[in-house]
Amino acid sequence: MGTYLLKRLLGAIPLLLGVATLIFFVLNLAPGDPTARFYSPAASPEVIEQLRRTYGLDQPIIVRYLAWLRAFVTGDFGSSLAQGRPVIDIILDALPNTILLTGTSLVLVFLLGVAIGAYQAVRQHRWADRVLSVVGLFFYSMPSFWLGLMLMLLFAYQAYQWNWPIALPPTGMTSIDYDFLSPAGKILDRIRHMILPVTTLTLVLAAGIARYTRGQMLEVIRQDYIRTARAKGLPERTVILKHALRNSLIPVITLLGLYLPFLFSGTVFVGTIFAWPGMGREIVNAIAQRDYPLVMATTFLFALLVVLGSLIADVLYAVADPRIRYD
Amino acid sequence: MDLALLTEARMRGRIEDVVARSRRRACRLVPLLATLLAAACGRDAGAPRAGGTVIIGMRADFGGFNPITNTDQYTDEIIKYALFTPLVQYDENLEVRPYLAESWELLGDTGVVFRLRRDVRWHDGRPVTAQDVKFTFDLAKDPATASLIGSAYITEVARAEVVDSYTVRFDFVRPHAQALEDFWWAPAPRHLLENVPPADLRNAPFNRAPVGSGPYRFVEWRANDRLVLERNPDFPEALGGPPALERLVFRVVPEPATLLTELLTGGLHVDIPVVPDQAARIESDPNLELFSFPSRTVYFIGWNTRREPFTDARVRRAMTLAIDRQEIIAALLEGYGRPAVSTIPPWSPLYPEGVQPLPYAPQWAAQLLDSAGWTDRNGDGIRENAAGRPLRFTLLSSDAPLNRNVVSVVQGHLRAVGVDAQVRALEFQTLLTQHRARDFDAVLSNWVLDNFQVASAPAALFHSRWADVPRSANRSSFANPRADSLIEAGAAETDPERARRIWAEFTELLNQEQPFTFMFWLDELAGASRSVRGVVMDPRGEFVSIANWSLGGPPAANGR
Amino acid sequence: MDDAAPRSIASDPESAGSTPVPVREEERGAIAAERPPAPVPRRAVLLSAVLPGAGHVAIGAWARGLLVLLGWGLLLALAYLTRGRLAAVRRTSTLDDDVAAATLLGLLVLLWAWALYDLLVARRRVHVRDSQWRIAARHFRRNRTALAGLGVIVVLYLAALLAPLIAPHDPIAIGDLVRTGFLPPSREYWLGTDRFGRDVLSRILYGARISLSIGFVATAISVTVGLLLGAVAGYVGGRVDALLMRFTDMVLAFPRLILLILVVALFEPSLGVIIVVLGLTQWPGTTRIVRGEVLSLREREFIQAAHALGMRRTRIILRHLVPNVLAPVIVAATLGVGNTIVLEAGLSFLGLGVPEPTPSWGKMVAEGSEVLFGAWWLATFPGLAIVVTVLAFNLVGDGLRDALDPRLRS
Repeated sequence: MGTYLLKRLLGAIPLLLGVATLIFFVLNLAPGDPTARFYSPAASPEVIEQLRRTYGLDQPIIVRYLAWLRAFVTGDFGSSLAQGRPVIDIILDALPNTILLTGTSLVLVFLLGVAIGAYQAVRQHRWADRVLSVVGLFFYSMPSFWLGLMLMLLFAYQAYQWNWPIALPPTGMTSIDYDFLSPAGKILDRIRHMILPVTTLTLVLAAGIARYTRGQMLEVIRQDYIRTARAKGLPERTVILKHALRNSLIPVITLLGLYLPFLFSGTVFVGTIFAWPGMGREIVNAIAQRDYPLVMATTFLFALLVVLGSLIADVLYAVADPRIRYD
Repeated sequence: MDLALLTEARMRGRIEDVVARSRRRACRLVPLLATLLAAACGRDAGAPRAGGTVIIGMRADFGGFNPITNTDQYTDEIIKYALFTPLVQYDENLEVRPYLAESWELLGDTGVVFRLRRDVRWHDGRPVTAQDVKFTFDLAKDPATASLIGSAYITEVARAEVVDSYTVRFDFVRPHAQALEDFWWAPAPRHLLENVPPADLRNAPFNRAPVGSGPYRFVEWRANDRLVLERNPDFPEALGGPPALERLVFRVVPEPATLLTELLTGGLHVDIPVVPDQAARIESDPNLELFSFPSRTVYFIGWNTRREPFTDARVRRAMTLAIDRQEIIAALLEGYGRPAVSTIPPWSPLYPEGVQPLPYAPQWAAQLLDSAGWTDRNGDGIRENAAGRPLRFTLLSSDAPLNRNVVSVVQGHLRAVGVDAQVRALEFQTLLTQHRARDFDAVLSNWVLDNFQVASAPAALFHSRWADVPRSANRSSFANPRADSLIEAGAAETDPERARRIWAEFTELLNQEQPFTFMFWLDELAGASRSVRGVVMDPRGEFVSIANWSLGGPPAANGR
Repeated sequence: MDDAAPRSIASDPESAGSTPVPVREEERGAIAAERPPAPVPRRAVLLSAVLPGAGHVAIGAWARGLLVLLGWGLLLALAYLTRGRLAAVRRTSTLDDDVAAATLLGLLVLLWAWALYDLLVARRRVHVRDSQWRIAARHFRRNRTALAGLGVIVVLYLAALLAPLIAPHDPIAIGDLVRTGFLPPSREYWLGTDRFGRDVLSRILYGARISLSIGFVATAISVTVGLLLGAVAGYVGGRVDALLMRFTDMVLAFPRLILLILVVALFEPSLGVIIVVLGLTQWPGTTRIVRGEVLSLREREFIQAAHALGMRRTRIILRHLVPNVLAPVIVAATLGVGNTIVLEAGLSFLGLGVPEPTPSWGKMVAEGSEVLFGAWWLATFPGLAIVVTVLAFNLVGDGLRDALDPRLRS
């Protein structure tokens, strides 16, 4: 196991370097000027040229690449061009917000997805299964940004218009007057702001988990040991919960690893619509402003988490299922 | 942290009461200062409370608070009206009035001597001196800082010289119009910034925790979330004295809809900027006041005068005649805009009243195009020239909603006179690159005036000196000898009456040549709760009276 | 399949019924349904030639006959209602109008020909041999939700092709902004109008072409690339496999949205660029599926035999491996079309879609979101169109999976 892990991790290094290099070149070849915001349009071309020199943008791309690589290998992400502060500060500001949103959603996604999937498997081909399948597929087919907009329209706007008791704040993480609330009020305020984005993410993602769980569960129910358990005369409840569900959960749980990058980046769309001050918004802004250091750092961390996530998924699989060994 | 801030605020509120009461007494006792204190006393008229916190909602975060390197407009206003003290300020008639400089003496057309106030102090207690002014000037002149002050204000100022600690002399490069307006910028503290290399000034930690000299002091800035300022109790009475408000909190909320909701429900006192679609909603609310005032932003379509068919001034003029700008203002801006005819804003003292924008006259446009040789020869509804080349071109815009909408409407208007404009909305950076490289037929763009000096925009946009310089602003490559001489004459003319005549002539020339089709001057919109008193918004900006804001009575909306 | 034609001449109902066909219990019903009916009388054929569907009715095949009649009638009615526009096609001759007119004509001819063919040939045919595909088709036909999805897709494609004929208004021409902008849904504008007074329903109909063609072409690209890379990696193995899979991992580890945004910024966004970009970033999933399948197929006897016969590698991959991994690939492709449509809508939502004034569903949702609280219909209906389309593709994809995978058949 140890050597396997080591091999995988070593193999990931060229992979990550490749990703970072590719992004670096695509980013630097894309038209744009990160210093565009730094001067008035009336500024003379000499001033603009000077600024480009200051930030080293006049150098050949290969020189810039090597300079970036050298800093990067030593763990120096540099300073954001647009915000004038260290990239690491920006990430540390935004990341907790993202994790709060995506982490909560993920917990709900797995709870809801597994419950629905298992229920469907038990009721295979019955009425409930079919309805849940189509409803699940309906949400699965939905662009998250549209679902978000619709929920916002209903619960943040019409709810106010029609004086529903459940009117929710449309965007943001806290109310304007957050600082003046009591501690309990603060918690409530945060929860109210989280309901819409979390619901959007959960509805869109839970459908996938439910489908997967249902498939796994049906596979397991067909196995001999379930037949044996039933033949033994165990109550159906025990058979399903203890034997079938537990075993079909193994592959579902390994999916967690694959969601690791999502925890980091959140979703650009949901972040944009609900103006959630997280990584998604930072990434989109950074690309729009050609903030090279920030884009490089975030994409690299994203790729790193993809690799780690699939590794964790494999390891979880091996831990959960003793038949699988990596040597 | 938040709790601590709150208690502190309450305590200071009590102290403030005492200070305000004593100021009211000062108003009665010292009639000599009455004129200077008028503003300070006037805000007492509505029986406002002293102290209190005003919460202002903003769509985007601020840039760094460094007077030298900042380029962001709202940040500039905070620097000039709240955190720092510029040498001079504008009054409501856009005339220059003393501020940090209590008086000045023009040395003919060749220079100016400023005498600084002695009672203005940096927020760390040190006095603001002529050394700071010279230090700021020199840094702004250094190309390494790429300072907006350097490129927009002091291009015609050659050098600064410290006469004594509170006297500074500037020498002009040449005689020029509106010379005093070169000095509408605030000095930065030398003792805190002199060790920062000019090239690193933009990333200096100072910018995120500035030490200023203005009526408000910096407290806290959390990126993309909030900026907190508090009153400066030592601010000199002669400049208005310490503000009545205890605290200003700026919140960053990117969604306009959320900002409006918060304003309507009382979470916010001031909402900046409001989008035109929301104006009616604010106006109809008895607790809210809608502010609309002319901005410094003009929208135009720049034609590439080096490319067919826009090499021909007749074609450019026909385009302008075919576009119904009034409809665009009415439908897309809800009427909050005014037609433009040049880069000289309608509210400027030098605005040429007599020159009218070209009218909306599609028939006239059609005739012009006919006479220029563009007629519909094959009956497909699009005009062609003699060689059979259709009158088709690409009209670029950024992907900002207003810009996209404007070009869509323009496309429809041009189609009606047989011109096929292909519309492309590009991401801002891509657009910028193409625009600068002159790789375009036509582009919808806008220009934000850096200051109230009339000459700087025409010189950058229309002088032939820049026609072929990469990355310069004359991206239409407009080159016209008469325009050049008028721009130069206007920039050098120190007599306002003669200057107005020169600019009128220049505007007339633009009307004929139409290197740009000027679309409209945008009106800025802002909403504020009526509980905030003393709010003035005009071309000088949203925050021009921020030192005089106060709270009268509880924010009515909160209990609604 | 070809052997059915000679047999059909000699066939009569009795002999077909008595021929014992080895079928499993559950499939007997389906076979029985395809038992050839009595020879079709000439009268019915003539009737059908005049009025498609009438022949079916005459011989008692009511359901099919009425369906054909209905379709024929609808098409004729459409042609009649839009005769003005059709007449103008010859004059204006834009590609859109030509395509629409050709589609209408083609559908009429197709329906007519199919009715005749069904009467004359197909109804006499007996299928004795069951291929893998035929069994799957039978299962698919029994899946009602999947059939509904297929129906929706067909309707969508027809709507997209016929858009110039059925759209009630011009999707692009800008009206009087002040008078016709932001009208809520009404009898004149069923789904309301946008800021420029353009009819939302018409724009959705025209927008269907963008979504459907991008979904289809981009998925075709990604499936082709994925299929070939996966087959090569799985079959050749060794270093090539390792290299290809590392490359696949890299593409997977790539933040795709960021890449898409950058590439679209790098090249001017146009329909072609967006299709290629979406196609070239979607393939790793297919590659992995195919590689897995090929790895197991490689050890099977018929491939070993092909080896022994000295066949070239390219030939083995193309002729033997690829057809045998098609089943999961078809499923992945159908589901992929749905994903691609959502992704395209997302790109358009971020302002990186096809240029103006071409309507695209994602762009319409984005524009609607700017005035969400003022004009709810603008974001709602185009989004609903996306959901319905993607749902239809996903239903069909699910149906195909169930039909093609023997273990999932019920």
